[in-house]
Amino acid sequence: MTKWRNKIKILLLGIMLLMNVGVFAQVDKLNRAQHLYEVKDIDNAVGCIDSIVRHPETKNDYTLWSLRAFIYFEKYKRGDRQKLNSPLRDSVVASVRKSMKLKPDANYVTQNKKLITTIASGYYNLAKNLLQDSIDDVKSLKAYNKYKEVFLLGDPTAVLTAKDIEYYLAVGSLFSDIFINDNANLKAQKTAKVALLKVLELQPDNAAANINLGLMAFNVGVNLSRSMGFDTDLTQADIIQENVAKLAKQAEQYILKVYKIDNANKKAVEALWLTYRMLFDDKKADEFKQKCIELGIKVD
Amino acid sequence: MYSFTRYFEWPENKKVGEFVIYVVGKNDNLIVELKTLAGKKKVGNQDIEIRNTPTFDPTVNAQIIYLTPEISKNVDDVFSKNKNKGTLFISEGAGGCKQGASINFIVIDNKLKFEYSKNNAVKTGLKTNDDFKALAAINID
Repeated sequence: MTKWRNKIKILLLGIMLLMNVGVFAQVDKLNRAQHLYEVKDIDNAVGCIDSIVRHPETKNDYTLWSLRAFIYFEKYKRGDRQKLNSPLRDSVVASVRKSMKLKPDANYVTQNKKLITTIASGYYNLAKNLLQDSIDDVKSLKAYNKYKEVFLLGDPTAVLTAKDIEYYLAVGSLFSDIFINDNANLKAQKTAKVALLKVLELQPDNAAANINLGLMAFNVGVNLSRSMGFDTDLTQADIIQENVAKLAKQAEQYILKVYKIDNANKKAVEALWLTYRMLFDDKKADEFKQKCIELGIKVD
Repeated sequence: MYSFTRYFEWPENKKVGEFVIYVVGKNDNLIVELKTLAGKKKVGNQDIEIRNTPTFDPTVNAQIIYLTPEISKNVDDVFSKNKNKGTLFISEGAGGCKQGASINFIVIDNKLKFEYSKNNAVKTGLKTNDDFKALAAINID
């Protein structure tokens, strides 16, 4: 009996020793990963940290996941900043997410949030670049949605309405300008309209969104009027006029909202003058022409 | 205005020479458009010529006389001096046809429409097409 007891004791000690060796091995690897990260040997740091976080003894240690996030962030910075789809960036976000799930201490929470804010800003800048430089609204929107998703990971209670307005207004303004300069570009018209209506959904009195929607409707009307040639028969001309009047009414509705809030808004006053001309409303057209003159707007 | 020419027939003496569209009053944009029209189109075989004076000049021999809204306010003089001259009178403003114009532009529901007086057109010596009546927003006669 004593013999068996001793055997079991030895076995348990052996197991505990092996376990400790395992833990020590992980601690050693962690130190190595930390060192590699500090000396910027990022490729080796990645291999090292990945083997630690997979280990059952250490996989639930938030410090490791945070370190992993920082190591991957270093690698991401080197070549993936301008990529919309970056597995490296995804690994940073996933590591922070995991670290946060493991309830880190305040210091790690701060570090994680700082990192996630940087990643979110990167997505926002990417959304802006894709919009302004590449005029790619689809990819830009993907980047913007990723910005929101990541930002909310760092600050789940954040309200992003102001950012939404800023972003959709940028999209709407850019594409309405494109459409106004090229009325045949119906894709630009649609993109602008969707974005500007989204702005109005969030902020119904937004002046820029209302003006742009009004000017777009007005321009479609102008374009439609111009489609009438000298040979257009009178019945056809009547139908065209009907549609032009509808568009001018639409324009009036948007622009008046702005004018009612700010009756010195030059864009609104000028647009209303032109809109009332389109509606053959001489009285109102003259009234707004006079306001244009008072505001220093050329009416020749 | 050019579309109207399809629905009227001018007397023989007006089918020769140039087809004159005479605008009385100031409307620079209209003149530009009409000059573009004149460069591109004809009425029958006649080239189009655009004339414009600030006030009515009875010596201008035109197939169409268009009176701008300002001039349309006082048109009696114009009509009395142009009876039986084979001229299509077009005015713009309230009561134009009652004063003697054949066609008068009016605004109805934010759209530019026209009223029509067949009698006035016939009185000036034009042959008319009844299809035109259906296109008018208001028939005066």
